[in-house]
Amino acid sequence: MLIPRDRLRSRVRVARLIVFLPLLFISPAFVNTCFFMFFHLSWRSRITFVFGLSVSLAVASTRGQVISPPFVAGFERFARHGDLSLAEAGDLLVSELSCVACHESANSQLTPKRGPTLVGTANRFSEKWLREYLNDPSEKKPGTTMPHMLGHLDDVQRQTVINKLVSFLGTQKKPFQTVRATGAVAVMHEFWNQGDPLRGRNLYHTVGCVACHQPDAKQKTNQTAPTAVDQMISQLDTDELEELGLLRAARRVASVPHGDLVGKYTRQSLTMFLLRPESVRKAARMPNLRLSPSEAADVTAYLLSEKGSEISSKETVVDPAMVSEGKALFVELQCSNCHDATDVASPRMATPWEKLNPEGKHKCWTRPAAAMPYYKLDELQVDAIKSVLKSESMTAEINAAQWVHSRMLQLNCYACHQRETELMKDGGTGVLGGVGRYRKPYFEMVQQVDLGDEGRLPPPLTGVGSKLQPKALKAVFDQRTPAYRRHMKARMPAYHATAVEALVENLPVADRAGKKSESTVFGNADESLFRAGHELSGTGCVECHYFRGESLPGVVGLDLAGITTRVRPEWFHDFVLDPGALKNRTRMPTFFPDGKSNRLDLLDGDVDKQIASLWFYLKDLASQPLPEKIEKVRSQNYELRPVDRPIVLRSFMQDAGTHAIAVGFPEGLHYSYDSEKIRLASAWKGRFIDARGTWFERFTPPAEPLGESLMHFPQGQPFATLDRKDVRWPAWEDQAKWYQFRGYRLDAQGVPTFLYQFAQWQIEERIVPMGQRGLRRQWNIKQEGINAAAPRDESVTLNLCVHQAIKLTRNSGAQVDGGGLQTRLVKLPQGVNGSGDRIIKDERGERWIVPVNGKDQQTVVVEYAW
Amino acid sequence: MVMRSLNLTHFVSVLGFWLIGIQPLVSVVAADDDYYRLLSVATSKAPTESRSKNWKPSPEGLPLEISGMTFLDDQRLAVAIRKGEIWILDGVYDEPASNVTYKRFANALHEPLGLLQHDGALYTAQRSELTKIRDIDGDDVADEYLTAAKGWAVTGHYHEYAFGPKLDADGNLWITLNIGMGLKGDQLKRAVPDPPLGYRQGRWRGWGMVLTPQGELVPMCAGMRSPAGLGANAAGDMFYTDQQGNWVATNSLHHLRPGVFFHHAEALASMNEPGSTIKSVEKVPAGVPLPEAMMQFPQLRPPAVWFPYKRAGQSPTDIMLDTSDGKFGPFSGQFFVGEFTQAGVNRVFLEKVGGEYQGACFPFRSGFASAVLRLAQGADGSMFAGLTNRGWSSLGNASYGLQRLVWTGKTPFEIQEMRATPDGFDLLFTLPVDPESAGDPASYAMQSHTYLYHSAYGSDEIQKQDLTIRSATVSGNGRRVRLVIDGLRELFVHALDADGVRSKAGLPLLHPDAYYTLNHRPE
Repeated sequence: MLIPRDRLRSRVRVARLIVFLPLLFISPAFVNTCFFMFFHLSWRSRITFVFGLSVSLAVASTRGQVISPPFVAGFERFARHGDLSLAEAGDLLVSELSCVACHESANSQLTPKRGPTLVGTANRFSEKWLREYLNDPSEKKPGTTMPHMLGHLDDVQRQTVINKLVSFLGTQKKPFQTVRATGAVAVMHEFWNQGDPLRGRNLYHTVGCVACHQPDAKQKTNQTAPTAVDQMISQLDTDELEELGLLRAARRVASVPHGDLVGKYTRQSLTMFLLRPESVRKAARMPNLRLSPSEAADVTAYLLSEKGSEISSKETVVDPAMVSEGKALFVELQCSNCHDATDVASPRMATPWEKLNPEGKHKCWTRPAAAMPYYKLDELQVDAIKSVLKSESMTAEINAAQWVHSRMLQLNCYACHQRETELMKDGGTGVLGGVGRYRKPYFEMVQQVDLGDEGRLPPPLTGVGSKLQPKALKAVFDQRTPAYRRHMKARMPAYHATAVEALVENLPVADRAGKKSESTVFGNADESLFRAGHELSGTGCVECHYFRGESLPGVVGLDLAGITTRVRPEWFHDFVLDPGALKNRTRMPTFFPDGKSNRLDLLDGDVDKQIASLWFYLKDLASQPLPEKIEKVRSQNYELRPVDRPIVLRSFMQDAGTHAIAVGFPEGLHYSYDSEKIRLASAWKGRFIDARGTWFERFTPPAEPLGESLMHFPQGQPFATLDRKDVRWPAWEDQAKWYQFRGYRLDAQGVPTFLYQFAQWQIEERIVPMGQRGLRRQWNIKQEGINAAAPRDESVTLNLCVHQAIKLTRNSGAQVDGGGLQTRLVKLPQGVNGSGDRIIKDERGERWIVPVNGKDQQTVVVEYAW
Repeated sequence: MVMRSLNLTHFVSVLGFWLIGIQPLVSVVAADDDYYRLLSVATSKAPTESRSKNWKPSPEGLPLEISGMTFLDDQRLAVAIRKGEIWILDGVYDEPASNVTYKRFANALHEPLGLLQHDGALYTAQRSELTKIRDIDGDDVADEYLTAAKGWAVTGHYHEYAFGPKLDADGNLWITLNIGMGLKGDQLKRAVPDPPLGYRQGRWRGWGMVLTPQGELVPMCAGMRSPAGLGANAAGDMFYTDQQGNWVATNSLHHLRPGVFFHHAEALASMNEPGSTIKSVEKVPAGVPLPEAMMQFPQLRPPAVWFPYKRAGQSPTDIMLDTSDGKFGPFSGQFFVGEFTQAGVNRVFLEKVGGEYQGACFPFRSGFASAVLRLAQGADGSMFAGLTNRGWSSLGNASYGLQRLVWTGKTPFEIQEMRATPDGFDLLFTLPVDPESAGDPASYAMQSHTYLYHSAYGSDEIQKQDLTIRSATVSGNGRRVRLVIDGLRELFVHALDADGVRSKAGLPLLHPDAYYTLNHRPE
């Protein structure tokens, strides 16, 4: 199989080369532009365009030089199309190309991105790749933001320098961090070798990688119908699009190039990078997609379609002289300005940024004569940077909105999120960003439910600073925060706090977040508000939302638990009042058309109070009842409802302990039995029991009776042997050794009969409802053999405790009441004729006990009514 | 060149051009499938995460969270599920298993974690008792739930699982009892009063017990943490698996026998209870390497096999003895051990040295749809795996279900047996080896380590040492290699990497790693 496939592949490669040879000189961005234009031009223009394209191709091929300017996502997407002012574009390039890593500046907006840390390079990258990359970074990795640092050297000199640098980098070893396995995180042995490329391919195309990187056109997506706008866009030509202001939405977004991953990484190093990109690239341009170890291995297996590089773990002979020369060069060539390495001298700075002359003799964008960086910028990029250099206002304070905009460009938040932004070039505002129409198909929901784009695309961030509470905003970026929009396959990446500080601080200011406290907006909570909130949430919210993990069937939406710690009270008020006003085209409907409530019966129809009631109900959701409809569904799934036959459930219960057996009857009478201490523990009427905790909860909460008229039965075992003069009922602890629970048997109707042994007596106990009034309890007692425990003394007899309460009242010979329970002896044990029974007292109160003839088979029946 | 291909790819995908038909996506087909095919009988995905407080089963079908399995005959499989029911499945051998029938046999069991057909009834350990379940009236629905044994404490802590039963050669039914973790409130009232050494646990928590054929419940051995798997070998000796955690350095397999202590010190809470087989432990060593701990604490016995963490799983479960006599491949008579977190199965070879069991574990198969909790061998030799990952989590794309592993008839190139010799190890391979690579000491590497015995969660591998392979000698028939190795240490795990060995046909080992727990060096 392998050989033919390889051959086939090489043939295809040759075919590709022949067919597309002329196109080899074009940058990805250029290709994008071409195709975008091509498809949106009229026919006549297309012909002209093709002609022009051929000419420029011819020109490019005669130049014989690779044009591969650095790829900066925000620049490609926005600056090239005039969405940014030249100064904004310049600022972005200055930070992304790390200009001020050498040309120091106090302007924090220009903070250099810097390159990845090179500590550990020796374990991470193949040496061959490193050599090729140093030889000419942008040739090895088109679009790289790393400048050519050896452009001033001839081939021979360059090889010598590379040898030295590589020798030095070979000393940069750092073992990969150990990935801790826990009960929650599976970590296979050498998990980086265990990836599954198919799973990796799916992850790559769904969790968010393709927001920035190139999707594979072959990847199947769940074809979600394009939105009306997208449909329209596909039918319009450029002029029409421009007229309608849709050019930006129609545009194809270029992808951040991967470079030669196979030649560069080992499976382990790429897996570890995907798992924790921030450990290598602190600037977080590549964010942490919250992959599990096995997921990171899967994506690696997909990306390194071939096996990836091998890095020999064997120690190679190192020439110390080469290493130390390499180390000196690392500083000398200003590598250390952008890259951390262990044990290197402090970086060599160049002319401070503010003192640079854009028209001076030495420029970083022309091939240098001496050692200095060489960025292969194109004309627009040079102009943009020059505009920053010339700018007078360079050190001027920028406002919060500009900070947000600038940071979102740098981190490429716009790849996923839309946000309305001031456009400095013309002073107006416009919506920038979003996943773009060609990438939308890769954003899917976990289940196939049509919630439109809102259900599958990352949320727009217009106004987000006035929506989220500061803590919640910060938490969005925190790796420990669980996913909020669980219905989406795409994941919000995690960022280190320092990477997003500017956003967390400036978003609320930029969006003019209100500072009103909860009590200013909603007043104070009270019982009537809780009740109204419970009622209101059940009429609309439940159709689309979860409530602490519970929902109506088929509902896909956000869980409202915790919402009051997430959004600001003012925003909640305004949003619930009129969702569309805060969020364009949201699926959330208004429940207050024209600002009026249609529930005039609740809180006098006061809209503000009704919204406040929702807020307070949700705030207290953990201890509030679920909305009724949800409660009903829940009970359908987990409430045990005996219809034809009794239902038995073994569980932990408050009354009946850890050996509880609950029995429910269709008559609506139910009881719990403690099979450890062998006693009827409690009984109740109405609904039986909810089994969810018993069936499906790891932490085994006690099962709670659902009905009413809960009756607690006496403590203590049913039988004991007593001397006629005994006035104390023995404690269970002293009797336990004589008792043995033996299980139960179900009769044809499904009614259990409990079986147990007390000393030498085998006892069967059966409890059934007595209409709606109470329970009928029957014991069959049989002596089996002579046990050492048998009381030989004639004065010692078997006794049954029929009732126990603080105070007992004898109603008639056969009925004793107490503790809310009427107890009647229906079938007397032999030997009892109304006089043998007695009431004894101990510290627990009074007990009604009946002597039982222990020699013959006996049946005793008692009725309990309450 | 690279830039070119990038531009090309870019260009091509932009256009959706025909050439893209041959994007080099090499799918690494798991070679495992060539030898053992993994089939699904039924698997489901829960809509909630495995650790969710609001965990819910899939809205369709039975919540087949299999916690016990026993074959009733050549066709029907009885399974216990965690919500407390026993179901009888028919049609599980079909390929595809599209007509499986399900019949509920029993219900109202409290988290049963085992199932055994024995003595004309089904036995299962619930949280509070060992129950014998029978159908009396012949309608295939149970009507008798007899308490076969009870008497261990259930304080109400969730971690107090009861596992079993499994039958040993003497007719004893074995059950194992989890330790509780940090008892609180009412739970403490149900703990052993005034326990020795101050450990607060319920009676017999952390113990292995047997129900004798005479119907007596007898405590046998102690020191278990989370003994989720039980199984007897061909001789009928009983073993259990334990899970890494407090006091337990890493996952382990132990031979169950009276009076032996395994790891978890809190099981000593029951030391003075009537019937206890562990006496007069006055001090538990802590924070010392295991070999030393064993000298200070004579009842503490080493496991027959340590499973080095991550390398040989993260949480072992059921033990299945291959009794298929070759129908399940070349490993007849060996143990297969389920693996929860990594959704797989490991393999164990045991031998008796110095009168005690010891041996090696090997990775065997991964890629199950969810956590493997239960294993059972079918009449055709195939392995059935009962899956459920609720409460913890696992690899795989399902939450629970039933899968089946069938040998294709093709023999994988594996280390079949690894035996200790006075000066090294004797390896038996499943296929003849290539004499050149197998006879080259450089084809092997070995490292030994032990663990710390302490109350903390798990232990690092300590006192690691790389050992020198002196020689590797291939035997006449070409399936045996004798390794002579310097520096073997008793009570240490010896991790072998035989990555360089090739079969006669040039195949690398499917699993080149083996981990031998060398408690005794043969004389």
